[in-house]
This record gives sequence, structure tokens and C-alpha cells, in this order.
Amino acid sequence: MYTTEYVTIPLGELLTRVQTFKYEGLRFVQMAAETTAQGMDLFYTFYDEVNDKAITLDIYDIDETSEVPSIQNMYFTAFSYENETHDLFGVKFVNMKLDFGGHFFNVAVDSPMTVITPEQKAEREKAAKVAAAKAAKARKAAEEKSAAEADAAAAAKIAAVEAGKSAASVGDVADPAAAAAPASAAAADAGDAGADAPAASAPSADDRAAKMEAKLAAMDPEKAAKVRAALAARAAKEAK
Amino acid sequence: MATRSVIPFGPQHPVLPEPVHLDLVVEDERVVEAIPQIGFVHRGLEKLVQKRDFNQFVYVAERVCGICSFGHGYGYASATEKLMGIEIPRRAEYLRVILEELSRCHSHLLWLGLLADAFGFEALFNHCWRLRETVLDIFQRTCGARIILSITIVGGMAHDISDEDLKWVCEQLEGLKREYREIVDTMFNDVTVRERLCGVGYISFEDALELSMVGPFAKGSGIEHDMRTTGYGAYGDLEHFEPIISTECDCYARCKVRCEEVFQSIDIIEELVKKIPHDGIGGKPKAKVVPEGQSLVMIEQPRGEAFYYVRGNGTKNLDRFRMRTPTSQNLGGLVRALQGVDLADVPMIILTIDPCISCTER
Repeated sequence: MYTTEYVTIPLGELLTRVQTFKYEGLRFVQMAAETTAQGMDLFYTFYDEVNDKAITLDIYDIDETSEVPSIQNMYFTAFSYENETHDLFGVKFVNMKLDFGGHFFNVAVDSPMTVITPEQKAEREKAAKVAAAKAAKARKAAEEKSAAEADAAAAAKIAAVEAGKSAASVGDVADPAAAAAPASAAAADAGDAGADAPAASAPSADDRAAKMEAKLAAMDPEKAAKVRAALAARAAKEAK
Repeated sequence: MATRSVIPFGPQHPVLPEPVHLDLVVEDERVVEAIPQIGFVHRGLEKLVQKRDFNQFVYVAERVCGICSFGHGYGYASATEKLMGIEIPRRAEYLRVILEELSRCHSHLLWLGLLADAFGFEALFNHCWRLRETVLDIFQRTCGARIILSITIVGGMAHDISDEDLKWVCEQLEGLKREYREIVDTMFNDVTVRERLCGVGYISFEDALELSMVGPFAKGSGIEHDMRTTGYGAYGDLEHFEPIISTECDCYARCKVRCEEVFQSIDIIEELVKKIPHDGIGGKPKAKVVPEGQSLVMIEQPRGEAFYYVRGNGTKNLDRFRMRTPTSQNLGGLVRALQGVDLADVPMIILTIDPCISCTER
């Protein structure tokens, strides 16, 4: 009984291997191709009559633009396989001794064997959808994170405004204009909750309330409700 | 200077049972070059393996060709069993080889009839096809079908053939052998036949070797390559097996090889029927998926060495099934054999190569 051997080689090594086989007197058996998700696989089979061994050279994942060297100069009978592989799979061969220019197989569709089955198509589409959903989820998570950071900053501003308002009401009797200054500074500079730079013109309490309402309206409703609750709680505490 | 012109030969031609096209470049009446074109009956059956599970596909493989039908199922099933690590019972191996040899007889008788018809020897055509009916009757009684037998399954045989039926097969073949000997002797001693075939379509031993030719086409040029010598299946249990060769390297030599192979096949069947064991016929494998990996099998079909390759991906469907039939391998030899011959000899040369286009295109 004959034995079999499979050898994986890069495309660049093909001619050297085939030359060696020719020199050793191996008989050419066949060549074929197969499309995969990664590209195209080629496999060449030779038969060693002396040792009764079939040797297959596997070349994996060549891309569509790869140029495959023809072995017709060494094994002329490969012309039928190379032309067939070109016509049915669209593989490009170079230095072909007998090139039919795509007219060896009289088929109506170009590269008909590269057309994938509906199951394969569905499988590949499913994989693409899973990858897209994963990317969308990651993007949404990043957006939510940045929104939460913005919310935290806004809440800090509100807190600063409220703090300024309290300070203003305490000093209202002495100097209303001086009391409004820290609150105005807090509203102007969101990052500066200390409000240590007084300003001459400060918005009224109604303006600030309107701005706050606008911000809350732009917020996620749940978060807005939480902020409102927090503000109400603070106001109640301060009122006590 | 001779005028050079191109004569289209086929795809529809009286001597061609299947469509193949040849552009014959001729100078006067001499062929300078022959350029083949195929693909008129390409069905993409290899690709179908991705849609049918590995058990179903054996029936698709059998339908690639009507003449080599059993061999294709045999080759596919063997390659899949090899990939799955299944060892089928010896009786199943014996039955497969017996049916393969019957297919060889059927194929060669059909071919000889076509050849006789092509050169106007219609009485010979009638007798060959009458004898072929004997083989088809054997198929019908033992397998329940005449052409597409559907008896091979992955893992063994779909049903057994009883010892009584096998004995009857041998009796039928005894009668066929006697009558076929008379036909063959008549044919090879006929002056017209010798005139048309001797010295025509010469392919030297060196050319046959260089072109990696297979089957009777190569054996007619003295090449002893025959996969049966490797002892696959039940061939290893034969007392003696030696490929039939001829060294004349012409159409006549190729005809002689095929005719003698029928007698050899009958001898093989008779020997195996005497030795057949009773250890069961196997059945469908328990495994529902084919493991990842690849395997190949090479068998000797009537037209020569055939190659079957399967690649599994861990599911019930295979990734790839590759079938390389003898005619694909002999196209190079056909092109070479037609160079320099008379235009009138082209049909004879093509028929002595016995191309099977359905197998080639799949």
C-alpha cells in the first residue's frame, strides 16, 4: 500500500521543490485550489514510484493578487490543471507554456468555484455582524463614560452655584452686589468650584435656575432626576 | 508551401459520446497542433460537497459519470474513511474490488463498441454491447441497479451480495469470457482494423513518462504504472498481479491492453469470489462529523489512475473534495499524440485514449 505525506511550503518555495521532484523522477499527479475565508489554498500532488509514496505540497492563504509560477516547463501535463484553476478559481499563473487565456473551461461565470455557498455566506455575515455589534458596544461604553464625566463636572458646577447662592443670602443684608459676585464666578468657571474671583456682573437667580433647567433637560432623564433629587435634598438641608 | 488552416473538431462529433472541442491546426491533411477546449458540461459537483453531508455526497460522487460511477463512489468513500480513521470489514473491501473490476469490464466493452462503430465495424459494435449487457445484468441482480449502483456507503456497503449470487456472477463471466475471446481474436486479426490502428497515434515510452500519462494509454507505451500493484483494497490478497502492458506505443497497443484487461478483471473476480471472507459489510459510521484534516486515495479506474482528496473541517460537511480523473492527466498525451498525424486518423486516436469528459469536468 502506498503512503502519503503532506508538506506545507510558502509560495516562493514552489519552483525549487518541483524542480527537485522532477530531478528525483517523481510523477506529477494533480494540482488544485480551494477558496477559504483567508484567501486561496493550492495543493500539488506528486507520486514517488520507487517508494510508493504520494507527496502533497500545501500552499496556504495566498491572496487574489498573488502570481503563482507555472510548473509546465517541468511537467507539461500541468497545463490542464493550471488553466482549469485559472478559469474556475481565478488564480493568476505566470510563465505558462500553454495558456488558454481563460478559455480552457467554457463556463458562463468567471471563477465559478469561488462563489461561496449560502451557508458559508450566512456564517461569514453572522461573524461580521457579531464583530460590528461588539465594536458598537465598545463605542457606546466609551461614550457613556465620557458623558458620566461631563455629568460629574456639571453636578460639581451646580454644587458650586448652590454654594455661592448660600453665601450670597448670608451676606445679603450687608452688600447684595458683593454677595452675588462669588456665585457669578462659579458659574463662569466650571472647573473652579472655589469661586475666589469676584465678578462685577452676576446673573440673577432666575437666570441660573433657567440655565440649570436647560442642562437638566439635556441630560439623561434618570440622571436629571437624581440631580434634581440631590439639589432638593441639599436645599431642604440648608433651609433647616 | 502547405496552407495552414484550423478545423474545429467537436464539441458535437459522431465519434465523441461526450462534448469536447479540439481546434486542429492542419497543413493540408496533416495535423500540426491540437488545442483542446472543455467545460461544456461543467456542473461544479466538487463544490457541492459543502452543501451535502459526507454520507450523502457518496451518491453525488457516483453521479459524476455513468461509466466510472462505481469507482467514484469507491474513491470518495475510501478517502473519507481514511480521514475518519474507519477500517471497513474485509468482505466489504472484496465486494468493492469485485464491483470495480466488473465496472472495468463494462467500461472496456462499451469503449470497444464505440471504437468499432467509429471505423464502421458495426457487427463488432453490436456484439460488444450485447456482451456488456451481461455485466449490466450482473449489476442489476447483485445491486438492484444497472449503472448507478449506490451500494457503496461511507463505512462499508449498503447491502451484502450473497455467496450464491457471487457464484452466479462467476458463471456469467465464464460465458462472457468465451464469447469475448472470439470477438477479440476476430478484431485483432482483421486486416482493416490493423490498417487503421497499427502505427497510428504513436507515443513513445519517454513521452508517456514525461507527460505523466496513466491507464491503458500509458500501458500501451510500455509504462507499468498501475495502482492495483500497491495492493489497496483487496488487491493485496491476490496471488499474483501484474499490469498488462504493450510496447508498440500505438493505437493498436492501447486496444490490446484494454481487451486483455477484461480477461484479467474476470480472473481477479473469480479469485476473490473464492477467497471472500464473511466478516460483515460494515455500515454507516457512528460519528456525525468528519474531523479536521485531509486525506487522499488513489485507485485504478478503467481509464487509469484516479485521485480523490477530501478535507474535513470538524463538521458534517467537507471543505473540499477533489477528484482528478485519468482523462485530465491524459490530455497532455492527447495533444502530443495528435501532432503530425493525418486528419483521418484523429477520431481513432481520440477513441483509443477513451476520454471521459464528464469525469474531467465534474
